[in-house]
Amino acid sequence: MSWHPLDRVPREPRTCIWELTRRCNLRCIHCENCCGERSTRELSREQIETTAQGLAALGCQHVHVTGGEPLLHPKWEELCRVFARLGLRTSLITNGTLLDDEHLDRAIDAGVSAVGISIDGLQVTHDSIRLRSGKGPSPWRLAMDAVERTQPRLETVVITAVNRRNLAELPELRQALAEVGVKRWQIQLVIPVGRAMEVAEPFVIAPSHLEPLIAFIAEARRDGKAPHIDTSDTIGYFTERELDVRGAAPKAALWTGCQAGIRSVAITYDGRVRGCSIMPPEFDAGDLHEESIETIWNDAERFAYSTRFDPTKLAGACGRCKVGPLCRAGCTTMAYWTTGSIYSNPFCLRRVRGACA
Amino acid sequence: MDSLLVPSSMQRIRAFLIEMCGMKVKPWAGAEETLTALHATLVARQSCDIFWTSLRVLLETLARDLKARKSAEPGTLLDNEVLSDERYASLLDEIRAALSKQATEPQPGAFRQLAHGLTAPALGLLLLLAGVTTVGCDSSSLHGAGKSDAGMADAAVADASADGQAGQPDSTPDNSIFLKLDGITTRDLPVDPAPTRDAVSTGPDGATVTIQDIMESCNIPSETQSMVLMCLAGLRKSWSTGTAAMLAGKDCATVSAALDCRSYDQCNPSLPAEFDPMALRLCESIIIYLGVRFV
Repeated sequence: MSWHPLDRVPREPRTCIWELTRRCNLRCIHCENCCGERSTRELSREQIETTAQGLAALGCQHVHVTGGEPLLHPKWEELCRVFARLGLRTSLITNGTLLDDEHLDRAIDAGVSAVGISIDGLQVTHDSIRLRSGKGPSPWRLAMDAVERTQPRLETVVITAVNRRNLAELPELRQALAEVGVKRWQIQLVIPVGRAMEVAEPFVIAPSHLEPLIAFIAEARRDGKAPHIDTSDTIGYFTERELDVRGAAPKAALWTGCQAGIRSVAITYDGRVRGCSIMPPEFDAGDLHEESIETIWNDAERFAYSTRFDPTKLAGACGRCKVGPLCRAGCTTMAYWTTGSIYSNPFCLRRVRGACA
Repeated sequence: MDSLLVPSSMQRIRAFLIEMCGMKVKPWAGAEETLTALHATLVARQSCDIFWTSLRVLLETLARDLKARKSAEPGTLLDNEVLSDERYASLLDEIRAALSKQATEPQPGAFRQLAHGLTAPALGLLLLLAGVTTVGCDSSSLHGAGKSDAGMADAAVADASADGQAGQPDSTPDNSIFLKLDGITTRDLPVDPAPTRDAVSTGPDGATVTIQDIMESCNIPSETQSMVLMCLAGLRKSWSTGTAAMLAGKDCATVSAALDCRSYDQCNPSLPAEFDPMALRLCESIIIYLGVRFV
């Protein structure tokens, strides 16, 4: 097999995205899991603790607790305490609408070390995307209040899923986040999956939008002002901007392929294990109702899309791209959802520019 | 559904195989594996009426998608098709021909005779037209293509497969992927490092230095030196002079790191034609990206 940088990386699930529940008080129009009601297949507390122990033994260091809305899981606090006790650095990824002072106190007391709060634009835009299931205050207002509340007490990251509604207002959103003291801002793309596939209007950005988006990220990172932007795996790849948008200065990092199943793992709200939480069910590596996390993870063949990635299968423009074998078609999930193949990904600035023609 | 996103042929076929045929096509299967699975299904289900009805729907959908792609204004649809037009066309024809196996009145092999003398590109175009023209056909015209077309389709698929293979990176031997993407392997390059000896630059002290001088002064292993020189010999001269200029006066750790990176040790095929410092910057800065995290 040809040499690849990921071949030199120890295979262990350093990061786990853990969907505690599918229950959610919002009905976001781009939700990949179509969250709302609780699943009857949620893992029990005992199953979660056993799995967490297994993850820790496998080398896991970070657990991102998400959902649905994780604060709606009746035992979220207790489970976070379990994770923390096992030495797993735990973050809560929340829509922010329920994160009042009481919840924040409980999170800190349970050992949560960071909070990620989703904000998908300015108020009108955010509230048009993150719909309430009933009447009540603006989700954007509640989320921004949560950011302000959390910022002084915990590492706080705002997460924005870029789409056509919010693309143009990113500079204004950056200003708004800076005004409330946000230091870190994670930017990712909406992937055409779940409810996002059903939005009547064009919602997912077009690949051609990557040029202005990446330019914005690069410029914003260069000026050094808060919030610092963390660029997600869906955005890239291999242009002169690459080192300006990824990694942390002064040592930039180079995209070298998806790490799902190599360095990261996801546990779905109903106990299935995948390399990444937004992968579709056909990528399931196992079911925690039937097998242990150790059994599932230690069978590398179940994550063959990463562990045995075959560059000779690269297709479309990625098949013609000279850096294809290194890049591995960018984000595996985005590639699969948009082309039906993990070997070709149109959401790539290099492709957009015609460098893979 | 975002109007930009017309499902690719692989998405259509995968969905067909999974939902209509109950097959488990691994999501990391390549296009050829998926098409092989489809072909196997065509063969295995010849006597299943329900299958053939579903297949006709698939055919019409694929043809409609192809027509939409070809008639769309540039930039209005996502470039997400994995198959080349020719491969797509041969696929459509294969399905069309398979459907024709159900015909009750065999037709003479006129199409086979016509296509027999055509070159592969011409045949591909012909098959493309044949595929597109099936859009809107009623079942009788689909059936009416005649049994003989099925044999033609097999031949066409075999041709197209061969073409497809030719367009793929060499898969044997395994380590050839980085070496041969440009059709040039390190084995093809001249072993004589003479061209790089001409590559000179001016060091900090004003003296002219070659890349070989730099490597020798830093005790770079001879194997690496040979590889670097061999690779540079296959690139334009600006790469030799540019690299020497960039590394002149740098400490040996930097030199070693730059030369050890994939740009040289595997003749990285992504290097642009003329020297580009950015390519080396990628090398110097390379840290494997380990994902976004905030705890």
